[in-house]
Amino acid sequence: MAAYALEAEGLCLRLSGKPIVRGVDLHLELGQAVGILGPNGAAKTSLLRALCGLLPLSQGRALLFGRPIGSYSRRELARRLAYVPQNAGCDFNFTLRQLVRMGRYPHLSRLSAAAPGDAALVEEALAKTGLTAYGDRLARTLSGGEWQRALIARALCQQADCLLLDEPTAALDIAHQNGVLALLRGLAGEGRLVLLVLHDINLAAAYCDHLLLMQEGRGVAFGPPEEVLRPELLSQVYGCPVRSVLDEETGRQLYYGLSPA
Amino acid sequence: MKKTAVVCVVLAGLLAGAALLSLCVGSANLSLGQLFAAFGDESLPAHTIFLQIRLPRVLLAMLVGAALSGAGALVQGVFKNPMADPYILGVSSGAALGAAIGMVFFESSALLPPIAFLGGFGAVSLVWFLSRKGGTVSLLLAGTAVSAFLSAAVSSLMLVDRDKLERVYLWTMGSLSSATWEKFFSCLPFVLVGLSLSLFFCKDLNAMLLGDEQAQSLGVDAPKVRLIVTLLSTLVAAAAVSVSGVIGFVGLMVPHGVRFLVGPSHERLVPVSALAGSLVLLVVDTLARTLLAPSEIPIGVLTALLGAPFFLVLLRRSLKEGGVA
Repeated sequence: MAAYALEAEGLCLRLSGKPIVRGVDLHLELGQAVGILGPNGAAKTSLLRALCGLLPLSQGRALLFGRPIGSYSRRELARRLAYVPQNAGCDFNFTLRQLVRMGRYPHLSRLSAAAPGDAALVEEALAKTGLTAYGDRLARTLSGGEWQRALIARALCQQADCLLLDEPTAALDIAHQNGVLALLRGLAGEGRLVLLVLHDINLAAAYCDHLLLMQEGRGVAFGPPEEVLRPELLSQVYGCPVRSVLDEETGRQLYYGLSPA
Repeated sequence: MKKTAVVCVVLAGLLAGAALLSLCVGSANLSLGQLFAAFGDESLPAHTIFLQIRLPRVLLAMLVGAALSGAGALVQGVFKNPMADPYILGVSSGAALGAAIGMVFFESSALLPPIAFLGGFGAVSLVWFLSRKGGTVSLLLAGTAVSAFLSAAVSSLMLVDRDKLERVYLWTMGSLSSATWEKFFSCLPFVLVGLSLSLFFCKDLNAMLLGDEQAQSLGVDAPKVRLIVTLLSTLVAAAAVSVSGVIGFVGLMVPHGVRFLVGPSHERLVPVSALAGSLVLLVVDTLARTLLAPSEIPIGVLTALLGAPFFLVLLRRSLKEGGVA
């Protein structure tokens, strides 16, 4: 196995001819929890989707365990890398449990409905995301936060080494935000790579061991939170004054923005 | 799972009962006893009625019903749209045009299924291309426009060859009245192969209901699966059209009812729809040939009388919800 789980080298991406990602380098290892931060339009989501093989690169390389992502079949890729999109919905009456069970698809042969042990994995994923009581609910009746957690449960069932999540806390209340991020942090602790786009700087600082700060399609800083989260750099990247204060009880730096001068 | 098994057993029981009943009723009513006696005794007149007229018709009605409903379940999955069916997507009228060309210009009926397939696939590709960026409404509009054009083309063909006019005309309304063993066996392999192969893609279709991007991240090559399943469902529907003419709405109604019973997962939806479809079309065909006996109602007329109001109710509901049903 290569030293890095997921790498980007000079990764560039165009959408409708317009350059979106303009050269990102990343070298990520298993066991890391990495947050991508940056203002709206910084191409965080596009970078994440490119790393999932959902968008074609215009330049540079994206490697998964040393192999170009484009050289994997969809099925091979889905066994190694799980993607949790930001908003999803479904007009068909799947139950939440059926939805979560789809995470097993990349591991099943074409005609088999389930392998031994799949049911236990599904229940475990439901329990970890706090959805056990909702298993028989129809997916279309779920709230935004329940959907979000269902997609995370599905990604857990995929048993992939790399989890890529697009704002997994966007639709969650603060209790669930912290619950989900602690769960993801724990998965990284078990030796997976967790890469997630976040908007909340404080959550990113609390749960990620590395951060990538992006601006206009480029990475402007990468490193541990305390190195990346410098108020003067954040002010410049976000285009508004950013202040930080120390919460003495937890020892955490908390960040907040002010209205642009 | 248990529920699905119960549904299957009940449907199979009803199907067996309906088949026996359908074999007995007709211009000469037979009792069950006469039916069984006729089966073994070639000297009885009932023997010919039973083996050469009623049995092929009952089996063909079941086969065509299974084909249209199975194909309906598949295209609803491919288009992520519960309003789709082979009739509404233009597959049927495309296949009808192909088959009409076959009837007018070639004498051999063996050529009908392949020409019907080409016509059906051409029509569904065009509808797909025209509506690829829009939702339910553009899919229905494109399907309606393409169907109208193709039906007009069939009518024009009838004017070209007046001798065959009546045969083609009856056939555009759908009919099983000329059912033969030959038709049954020319249709059977396409339906069996098409529906069996489609079972390999059921999990893929489930994932594709969530959108291509999610399907891809679950390991499904969505564009490839869409093409393969469209080809398979067109093959199945066109095979049915080539022996029975245009029978609409069965492929729409049956998967709807079945989804209500066994849920949206295709590994159950497709086979149970085929089973339920064979029951529904057998019952409708039996009504078609007995309601106004001795004359026969074209079965396509009957399914449209029942199906079009059903379709409008669905459409109204889905527009109210601001999306697909």
